[in-house]
Amino acid sequence: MYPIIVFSVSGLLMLFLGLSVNKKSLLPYNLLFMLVGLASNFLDWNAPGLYFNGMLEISNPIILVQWVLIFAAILVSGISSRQFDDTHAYPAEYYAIMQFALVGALIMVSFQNLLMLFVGLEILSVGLYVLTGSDKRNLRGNEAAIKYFLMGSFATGIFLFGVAMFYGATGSFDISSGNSVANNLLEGKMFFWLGMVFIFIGLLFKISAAPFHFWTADVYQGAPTVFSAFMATIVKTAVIFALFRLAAYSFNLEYENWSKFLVIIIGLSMVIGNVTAVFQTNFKRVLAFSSISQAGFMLLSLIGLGAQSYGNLGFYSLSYALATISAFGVFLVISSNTIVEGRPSENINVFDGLFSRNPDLAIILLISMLSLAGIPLTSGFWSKFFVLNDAAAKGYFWILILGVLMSAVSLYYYFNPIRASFKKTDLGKIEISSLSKYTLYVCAALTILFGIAPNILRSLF
Amino acid sequence: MLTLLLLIVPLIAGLFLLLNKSKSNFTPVVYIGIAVQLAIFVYAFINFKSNPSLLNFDKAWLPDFAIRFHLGLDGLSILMVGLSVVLVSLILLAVKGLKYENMSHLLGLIFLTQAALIGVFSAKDIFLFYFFFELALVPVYLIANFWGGENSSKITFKMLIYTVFGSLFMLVSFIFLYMRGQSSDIDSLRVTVTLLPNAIKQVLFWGLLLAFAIKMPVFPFHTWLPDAYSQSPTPATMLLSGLLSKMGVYGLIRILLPFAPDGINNYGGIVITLAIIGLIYGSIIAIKQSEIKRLIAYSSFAHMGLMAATVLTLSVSGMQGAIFQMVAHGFNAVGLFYIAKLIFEKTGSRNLAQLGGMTQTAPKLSIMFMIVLLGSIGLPLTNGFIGEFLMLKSVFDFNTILGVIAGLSVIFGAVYMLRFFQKTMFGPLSESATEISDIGSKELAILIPIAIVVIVTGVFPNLILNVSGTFVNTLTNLVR
Amino acid sequence: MHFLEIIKNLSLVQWAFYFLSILTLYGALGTILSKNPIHSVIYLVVTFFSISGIYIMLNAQFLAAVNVIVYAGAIMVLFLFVLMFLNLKEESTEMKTSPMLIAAVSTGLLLGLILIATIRKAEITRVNYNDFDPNTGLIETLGMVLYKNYMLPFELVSVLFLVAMSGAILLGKREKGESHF
Repeated sequence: MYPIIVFSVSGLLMLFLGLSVNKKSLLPYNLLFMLVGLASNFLDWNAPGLYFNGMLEISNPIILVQWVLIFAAILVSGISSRQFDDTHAYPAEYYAIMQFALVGALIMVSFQNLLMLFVGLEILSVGLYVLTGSDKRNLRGNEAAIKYFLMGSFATGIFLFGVAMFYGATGSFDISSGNSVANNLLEGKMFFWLGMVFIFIGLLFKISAAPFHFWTADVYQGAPTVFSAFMATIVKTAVIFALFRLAAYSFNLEYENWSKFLVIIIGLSMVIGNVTAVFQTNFKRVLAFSSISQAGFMLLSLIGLGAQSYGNLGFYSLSYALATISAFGVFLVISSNTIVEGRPSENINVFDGLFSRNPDLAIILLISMLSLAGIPLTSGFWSKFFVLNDAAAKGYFWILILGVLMSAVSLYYYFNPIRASFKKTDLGKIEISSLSKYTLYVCAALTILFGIAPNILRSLF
Repeated sequence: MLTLLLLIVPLIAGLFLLLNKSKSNFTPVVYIGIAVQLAIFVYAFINFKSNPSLLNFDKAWLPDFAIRFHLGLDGLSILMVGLSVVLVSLILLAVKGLKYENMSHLLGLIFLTQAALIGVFSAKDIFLFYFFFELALVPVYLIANFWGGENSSKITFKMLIYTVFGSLFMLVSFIFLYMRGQSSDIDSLRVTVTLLPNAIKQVLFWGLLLAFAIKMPVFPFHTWLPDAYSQSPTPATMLLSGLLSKMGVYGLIRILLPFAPDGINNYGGIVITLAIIGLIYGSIIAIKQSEIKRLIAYSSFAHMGLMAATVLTLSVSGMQGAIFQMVAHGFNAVGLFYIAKLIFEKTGSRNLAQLGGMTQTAPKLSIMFMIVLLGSIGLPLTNGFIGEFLMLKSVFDFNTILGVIAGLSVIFGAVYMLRFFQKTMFGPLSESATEISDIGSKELAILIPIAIVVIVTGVFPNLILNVSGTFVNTLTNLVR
Repeated sequence: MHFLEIIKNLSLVQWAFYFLSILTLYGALGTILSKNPIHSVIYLVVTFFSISGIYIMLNAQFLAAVNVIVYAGAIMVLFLFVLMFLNLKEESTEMKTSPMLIAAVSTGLLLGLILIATIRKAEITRVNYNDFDPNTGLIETLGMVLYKNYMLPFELVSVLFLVAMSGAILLGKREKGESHF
């Protein structure tokens, strides 16, 4: 609960710091605030409970997920160094809105009342609508912002309709009140089911599960790369854990009903995400479609809903965040160096010859792509293994086989940048700021560490 | 404990060589690495019968899931580990003598492949096995990418995807099995398998078979092999044909046989027939090859087909033959590919039409070549003979017609190998072979041990057969 | 005939509800279908007013008042200002019937059908007129609940407003070198 307060205040402070402090030192301040937020979460450790009249629940697993979110935000800030140096960027506002969006994400993983979920969802989403359009000179960015805003607001509207139906059926916004409807006759449950479906659809949109994924590619492509990384990791983690809380506490007695519909969504996400990604030439679009398929995998934990599913999902989120942030980080550095028609190039051929230009970046890219594909020795393998286990435990074998097949397909497009990076080229060396470099080193090192000894992280949950 | 050391030593050596940025002298590291791992292996081998607990290493890896990091050596494993230790040492010394850029990185990647191979051959937990099985291909892919030609990166990538696709089916089968058995230990799962419903047993059989059939490869799944072996650089090819293909056969014996005996009883015949078709097909195509690496590649494929067929006959002689042949073919294939590289280095050509008469200018090379060649053909007194004989006997016992057809492969083998030798070594001195020098002591230092192995294991096969004997007997009793 | 019977027997409340609903739907359709954007805004204002009427019928007096003040008063006036700045002409093009349009309309109708079916099947509990607390929609009760039970979301909405404000300024601020309107 404390990080929510810390980040609300620090966001304000960041806005004021934008007036008084030199632009270059805003990033260190941002990192400082995030570290303070990370540390403030310790105060709640081993002190579970409900806060503010049943609005938020804090317990150790929730604190762990909040740490994952804050850590991912720290990594995103790390790779953003030197990206906001020109006169058209306003790093104070960007970092402030990032921190506010983080508040929204933190609320979304710890809510006990549906209104809190709505508030958190809106804070996160509106912050991201703004950040998507923040590079005003980029036409694609403008288009992406409008698309995201319109579709996102529509999805929130659907979500809110679902909440209203939920209230109508149970008489309370508390998520555990879903159990009171369980023993009713069919007629009494109608509104509850309606609410359940609409809430799911609204949230599935945010996590870009197929068939609600049409906004993803354009938005990820148009947004500035740093904020695409934020979207791909923090938004996904927050929303999937919100879905998990709902599935585990409100809708768990209706499992047979919504699990069938979720299986179809998972299958569609995996297939559409992986197959479309094969044909993409823009690297950000590749990562967007890959995130659609990863969302499908994460939803497998919801199908599993066993005692270990929460931990598996936590492991998956962190591993996915590490891999995606390092991929975006490497891409960010290289594309800033390759200007085509006045804008940084986003084609996969920016990776050409990376190994000779900067071997560290090539190795980090290799590790992150291997992790996303699920090759052993990286944490991505274990995360896929855990969620597939979850699905198998409940007996969903066909989705297991589909997931495995799609993993094989994904290998093709994850290796495209790697193969490009091993080509021979005459281009010059690539400079990288030391903060970016250390952030990427940390990401790669943790990926390998959790790949060899996954229990270090897994036992915490 | 010793097994863990056997895994860690090449890992450390490999990482050290890979992270070696400066052009400093890395040769001592290579020699020390080779010496240490040979020493540990010899010590392990001596203690194998008397003190087997020394070889065991068991630690909890994922306690929540009951997955353990369990390494151990039994009759089959110690042979394969020994094969990989000795062969990789030879490969390292061979590659060091050749001209490659960034030699320390290349040697480091070879060491890393070695570590993964030892992991595969000594894993006693199905997920640990899968972990190393997948991992072993990554350094080989990197070798082929960096030190290969233009085509080799595309082709090795195709091989990578094909193999990973197959192994993912193995992963699915393992997850099924793990769900039912609540344990991932290979030994304890043998018992669980008997209790599974029929449908699951079918899925298990086909899933596991697919993974290994692509790796070895077996007839319809072999399309990646000729291109991958011939286009890859020699270090990668030596690793692929000498060791990684053996992972497939090892997987068949270690994983498929205990876990899907019913499937083998029902469908084994089909797979054996396919493997024999592959054997004959590979041999016939090898006869028509004019590029030496492709020729050896097809011969390799043919041998693997016979090994696969024999393992599936579930007979003692078959399994002993297959295990023996794994060791023998490892040495023979590495020797042949090394000789092919030497021929290419000296004459600049891989085409049989452009070569000839090398006996006159490189007599030592041709003597070594002849010895390894005879081993590959299966002449009595060489290791190839023991393996071929045991294997053909088991196929013959299984089905007379298939046995006769398989027997034809010996003839075909002789044809293409002798043709290979004749076109490169005998005959009029070709242009490319005129100015070459003979092989020196560096190359002999590698070829002579191989030749010794070929002859000694051919004359004293019990050196190997005794080690794997107990294991094979237990396994066949279990599976019948 | 049966239909006329029903109409004759409607109570005043039901008359009011049906009238307001038809007005709402008329306003909504008018917003979408009218060609002049200023007319669209006026239709939307009509919609908001009729919805406020329905709120009053549901005993949510404060909400009705706030709806009129904020939505019809502030937001719609803002819309009108912007429209007058932009000086839009009347749309002269006909709307094409693309496949997307047909798909969207049919999906919407399907959704409506499902919702109607659900509501018909659902068991709707009536309000007990004797137990009903007449203070329910009043502003004091609302204030008590808002500041006691729902204090946290109330305070956190301020973060949302801050994001929206700073975001609007960030996006809308005129940069050096950008053109005037």
